[in-house]
Amino acid sequence: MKPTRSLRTLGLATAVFSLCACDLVPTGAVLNGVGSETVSVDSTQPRGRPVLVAVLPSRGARGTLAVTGANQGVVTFQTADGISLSLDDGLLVSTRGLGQDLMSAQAEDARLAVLSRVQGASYPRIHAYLDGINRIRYTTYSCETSTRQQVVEMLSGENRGSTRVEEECSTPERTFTNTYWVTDIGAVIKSRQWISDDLGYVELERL
Amino acid sequence: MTDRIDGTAKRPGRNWAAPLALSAVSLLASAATVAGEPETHAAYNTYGSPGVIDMPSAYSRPDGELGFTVSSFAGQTRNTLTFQVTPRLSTSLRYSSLQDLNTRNDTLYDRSLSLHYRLVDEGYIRPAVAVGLNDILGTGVYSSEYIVASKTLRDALRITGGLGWGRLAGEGEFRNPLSFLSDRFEERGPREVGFGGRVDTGNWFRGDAALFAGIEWQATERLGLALEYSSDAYAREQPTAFSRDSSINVEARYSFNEYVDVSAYYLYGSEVGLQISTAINPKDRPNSGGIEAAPPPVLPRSAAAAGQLGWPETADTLTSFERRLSAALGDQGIVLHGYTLGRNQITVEFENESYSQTAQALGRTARVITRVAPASVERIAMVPVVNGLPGSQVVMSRRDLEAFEFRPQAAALSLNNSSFEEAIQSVPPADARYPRLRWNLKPYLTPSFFDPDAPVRADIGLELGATLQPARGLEFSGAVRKRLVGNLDESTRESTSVLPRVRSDFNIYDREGDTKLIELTGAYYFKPGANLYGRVTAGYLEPMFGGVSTELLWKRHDSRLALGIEANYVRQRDFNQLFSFRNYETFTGHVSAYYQLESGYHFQVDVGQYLAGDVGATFSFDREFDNGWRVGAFATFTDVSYDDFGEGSFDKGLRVTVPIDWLSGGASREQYEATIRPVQRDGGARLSVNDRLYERVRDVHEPQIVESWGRFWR
Repeated sequence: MKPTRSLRTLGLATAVFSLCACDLVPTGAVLNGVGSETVSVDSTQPRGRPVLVAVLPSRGARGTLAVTGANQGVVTFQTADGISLSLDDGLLVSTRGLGQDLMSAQAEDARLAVLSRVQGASYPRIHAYLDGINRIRYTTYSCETSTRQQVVEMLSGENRGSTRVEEECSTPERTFTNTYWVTDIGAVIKSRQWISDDLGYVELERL
Repeated sequence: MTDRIDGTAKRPGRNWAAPLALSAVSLLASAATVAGEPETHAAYNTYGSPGVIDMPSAYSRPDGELGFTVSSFAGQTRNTLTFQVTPRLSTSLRYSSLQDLNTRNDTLYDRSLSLHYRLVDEGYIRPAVAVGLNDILGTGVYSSEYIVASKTLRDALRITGGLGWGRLAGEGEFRNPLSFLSDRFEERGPREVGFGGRVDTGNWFRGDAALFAGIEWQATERLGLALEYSSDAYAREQPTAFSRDSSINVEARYSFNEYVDVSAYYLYGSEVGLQISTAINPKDRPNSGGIEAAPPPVLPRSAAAAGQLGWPETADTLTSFERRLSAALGDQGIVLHGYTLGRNQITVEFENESYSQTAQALGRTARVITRVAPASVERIAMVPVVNGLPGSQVVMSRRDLEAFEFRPQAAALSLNNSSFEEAIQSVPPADARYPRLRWNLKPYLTPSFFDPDAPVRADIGLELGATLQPARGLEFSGAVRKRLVGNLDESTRESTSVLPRVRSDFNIYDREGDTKLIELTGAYYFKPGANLYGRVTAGYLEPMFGGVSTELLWKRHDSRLALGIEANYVRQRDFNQLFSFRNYETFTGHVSAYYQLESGYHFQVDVGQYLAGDVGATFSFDREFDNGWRVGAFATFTDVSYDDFGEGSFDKGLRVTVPIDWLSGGASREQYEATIRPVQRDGGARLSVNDRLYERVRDVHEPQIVESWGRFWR
């Protein structure tokens, strides 16, 4: 599920830096001596069985995630190759390892409205992203929900009755619509949620 | 850094309107970009500067953009590197080859520097106005000055008109309008060229002036057309290189994407030309934050199993605690340097081997500590270490880490609730840390430019390096290179320097060094006192010199100011770069002051004696971006006369640093560093030593850590 590197930028950088009096060493071509392993970033290996399936259409990627942590009611799930999603009762509040990640989010009002399956609720939502020079940038959306009953087909083939809650959030620059399929007891079994401009939507389903 | 800015992201979708071409944004739109920067940007002209086709225009390029343009027509090829230093100031460094000039038989290779400054922003009625200087330091082939205004008429149409002097007053010239100020403006004297490289202000805006104009139309999102009336007579180029039949130039420009433009033009009624422009903007990171693996989640004590965060009672469990901490940090690309564990607090010294920003290493270390430290530990202190030297100590409470992890304002909260201190407490190194030996084998490519015999040369080979760290602060390192293939040894230009040949014999070193010892040194890094750092390095310090280098740096961990003093005694190494020396030996040393502005501009002054025995000062100025990118320039003025220095008159150059993680998206501390000098002579030459203190230490001090705090939770 790992996004590929930007070849365009590598080629571009090589073009720009061909006119330099510097030593170029291709990274990744370094052979390190035995007994002198350099440490490198490894992913926290998730324990436990996979409980979440995620699909990222913009990258054509798909993966399964297991639980790696829980804090303040937010559960963090991670793939084997180092991508994590943090969900607050099924609502996405944080991602890591994808690039233009959702750093954090204020989605408490969204959570209440979605889990209670309220029709026509209106509230704000705040997303935080990292810009190119490591500053956190906030975007505030105005959201509104709409609901209807729908029988949803799960990956397992099972058909489940649920309430389909659509959350339409907008700013003058963009609009996105999150979709949640919520059961009678207020559990999100399937969803399609917006991450960022670069990544688009992620589709999640509980196994 | 946690300001609320709404709606600054781009529209979704792949075909984002190319800003290298005219942006089709209505003037009336109030959508102000970050920092109030105007939306309209100039294209790159044949000189690689903001302009129309061959003429300049009043708009600038996006702030922070680094662009490279190659244009060619009628045997005139211009390669230009342009940097938008501030939103208003653009600087261009150009390397041109001029063929078939009527003043000489062979090709002229010329280096020139241009400046473009946008004085006035465009308003509803008011045009944008800019002023510029061309070919400030070169031999004067492109010498000109101008004042220009540009106006966007409708969404896709804009006009430019201006007044030029010097080369831009070649055609249709008239008496200088500035001569009403003073008679001196009437005449433009002959250029005082000398050895080149000097700024000749005496001729700026002097002599006749002429008008030029242009019109640009963005026909489609990607295709733009331009028409221009040029006041450049190309007096030296015609009629031998081409014949100037007309003053009208036309161009078609196609934008592949935001960063690449290709143009074809028909110039002066007789010549077809081509141009390609590429640009990169450090603020525009390709992988938006990076694709490094996700960090470990914070483990709140309430959720931990009873045995997980127990207190290590015996020596055995303490050893296993150290191993667990070390392994968990190692998984994050961080080396445990040492720790002290108390009932309620833990202090961890770590070495960041993976992340370009210390803030990210701190965040990962903090997360690991919550997962491993005994439950009673509440106060967490973390100290980043470089070369055995401690940086700022960052203290946070565990309760805060547990509470803030998923808060929307997590970054701001964690910063506001942590304190930065001087690291005073002595932390014993971890058992496994010393001694440590590392070695590596890697390929290298060394290019060489600007030799008129062959403007581009290169060597490719293998480098074997090793570092032994027997104890804290002590390092023995060596590197050997073996050339496999290359043509650096073909350079036969002999140095004409009248100074001791401390650098200008570089091509002899290239020729005679086949298997060469790049460095072989022993170094000791230490802290003689509060806010003081010291270094002593001895051995074969660099390919051309060996000896002893000592340095003392004063820098408070929370300050942007640093002062240093360096004293070295060196002897010149033999051309074959093995173990022997030549006869020349000298003392070289400097007193330095460093200052970093919060806005990201960095100043450095070094005063002292250089390798050739000359005495003077070096001034450096860099634009530093919080992601590690740096673009800057330096110049050295010494008691060596311009004549004695030779070609170029004084030592100067540009330097660029590109962080690898910005390019690749993965976690890396590596950087491409490039220094571009128009000419390598012997004046103003400094010794090259590894790990000078300021660059190592500033990375782990508060100002730099806080700048990239956005990465703490990453």
